[in-house]
Amino acid sequence: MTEPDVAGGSDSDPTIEPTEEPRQGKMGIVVSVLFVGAVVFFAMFASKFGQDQLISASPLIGRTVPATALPYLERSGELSLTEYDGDIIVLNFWASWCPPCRLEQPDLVRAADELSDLGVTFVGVLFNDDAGAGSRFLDTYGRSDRAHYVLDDRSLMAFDFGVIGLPETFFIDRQGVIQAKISGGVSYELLVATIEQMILGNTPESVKTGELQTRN
Amino acid sequence: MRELRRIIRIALPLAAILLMVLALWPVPTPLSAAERVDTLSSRLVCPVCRGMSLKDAPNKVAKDGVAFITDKVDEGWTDDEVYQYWAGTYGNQAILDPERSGLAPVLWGVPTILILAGSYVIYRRRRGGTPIAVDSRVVEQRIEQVGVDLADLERQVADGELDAETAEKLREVYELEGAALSKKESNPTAPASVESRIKAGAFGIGVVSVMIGIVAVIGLNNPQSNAVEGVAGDVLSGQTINLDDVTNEEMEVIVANNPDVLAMRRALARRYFDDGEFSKALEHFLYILEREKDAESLATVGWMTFLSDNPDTAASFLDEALKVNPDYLTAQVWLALVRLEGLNDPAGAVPLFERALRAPEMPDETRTVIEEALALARERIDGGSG
Repeated sequence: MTEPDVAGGSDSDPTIEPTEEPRQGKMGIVVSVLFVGAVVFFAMFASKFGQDQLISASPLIGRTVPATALPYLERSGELSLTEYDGDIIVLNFWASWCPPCRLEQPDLVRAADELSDLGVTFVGVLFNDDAGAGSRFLDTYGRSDRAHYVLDDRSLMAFDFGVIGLPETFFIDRQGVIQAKISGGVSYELLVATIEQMILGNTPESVKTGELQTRN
Repeated sequence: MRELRRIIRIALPLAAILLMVLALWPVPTPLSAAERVDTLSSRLVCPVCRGMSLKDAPNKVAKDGVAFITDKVDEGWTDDEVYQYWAGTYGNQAILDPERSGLAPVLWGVPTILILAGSYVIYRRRRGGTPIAVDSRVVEQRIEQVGVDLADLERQVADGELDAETAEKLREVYELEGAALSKKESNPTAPASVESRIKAGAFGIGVVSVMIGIVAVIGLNNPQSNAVEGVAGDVLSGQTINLDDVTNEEMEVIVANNPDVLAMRRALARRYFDDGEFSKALEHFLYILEREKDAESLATVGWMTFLSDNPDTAASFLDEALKVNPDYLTAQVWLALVRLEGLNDPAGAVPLFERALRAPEMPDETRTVIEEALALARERIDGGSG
């Protein structure tokens, strides 16, 4: 019985029948190499679009707030974050269609009511939604007289802050520098702890608390 | 002299090619503002659309993005300034590679071909290839663990902690695993030859390639696929822990200390699955399934069961996953593949592939992969099975 010609030299020797085995062996090596290439390609492909990648990059931390002005949601006039230099700003992006936004709203209202006297300004930015739905949301889940609600009808502030889903909350220090970001819903305790760190002059840690919501 | 002739023989064609290239090289012409906006919006990722460009995404935020770019171009921003702004707020990942032209489509098509080639290798291996050598100690340990799991399962049934249907499914999985392991133990494979190792390697890499490819391009559309792996706060004694920085071993400790926090356990199981450590992944997913039926755990156990040569059980788990979440794209495609390759049921695979293709906002590459699998299924229906 003829041994399989693993080296593949049978082509030059007419006495030896070509067999399937060595071809499969070589094919295995070729396929292995190609697959490694595919794995690397897809790993790169996946990382390019991964939301977590975008979050961990946090390119905005340490930047000064942009001067973009937005109209108030329920009254005339415009708000620009630069008006509040000297205050700690809690900037919360939300929408009426976002379930975690409903959960966090009472906590945001409570924090705004209780902490505004400490020089903390709460700004709620209605994003990717219409004004009517936003107002109905506030009617249902609560609004704070101490907070400011604005409408980002053209997504301008959302682009400035790199918003990729809702809710997202940014913390801006008294010098107007973005210090931290919470991706996902916030709780009263987390808000207080983060603001406390900023009042003490520390840099709070950016965290992710849950899935971000997007709307098709 | 002969040397000179040889140099000329090489240099002349090269010079001719170079001249041709230079002659055909397109002379750049200034783009109009509309053309610039078009190019820019096709390269900037829509921030809320998972991989689609502003130009391609159909939603309001993408349209706002295009309007934003138009404004900035009108204000006199250069292309670089626009790219810098977008990368500055969303990171470098938010800039897509240049448009696919020239050879680029070929490069983008290669992974699809490789996925199909990988599927072919898996298919060949599943049709009676060389067995992969296993470590007998690992097998023994796992058999022991299966015994413990079975005993635990019976205890939970007796105590009324587990419903009969779930218990039956778990029992089936444990028994199948136990039977497969016993077979390996009683007939351990001899040290693999170089060739069989290459084949085994090709098989393993094939599986991983197909899985990574599918998970990478399809998993993006699963609303649960980006589930929390970030922070577990209040549930863990008020501290916030960024799971991105935690090792598997540390997560095991956290999970052991918080056995009822299933999100943590799911994150760990997903890590093991992504790393190809299926035994560990299975252990955690089954623990979760004993407490709640979630689509991800059901589907992933189903897929791992399929890879363990049990397509019937795999299909049953994947069916369950789709009952829990009918829109779970990954489960749809996995079930279709199980029907196509494991159950030789291309007719059953076709509607699933078709349904998957109706999913909104799917990257072109994903669509191509599913379309090709669908074509394969239809081909098999037309030509009979096989």
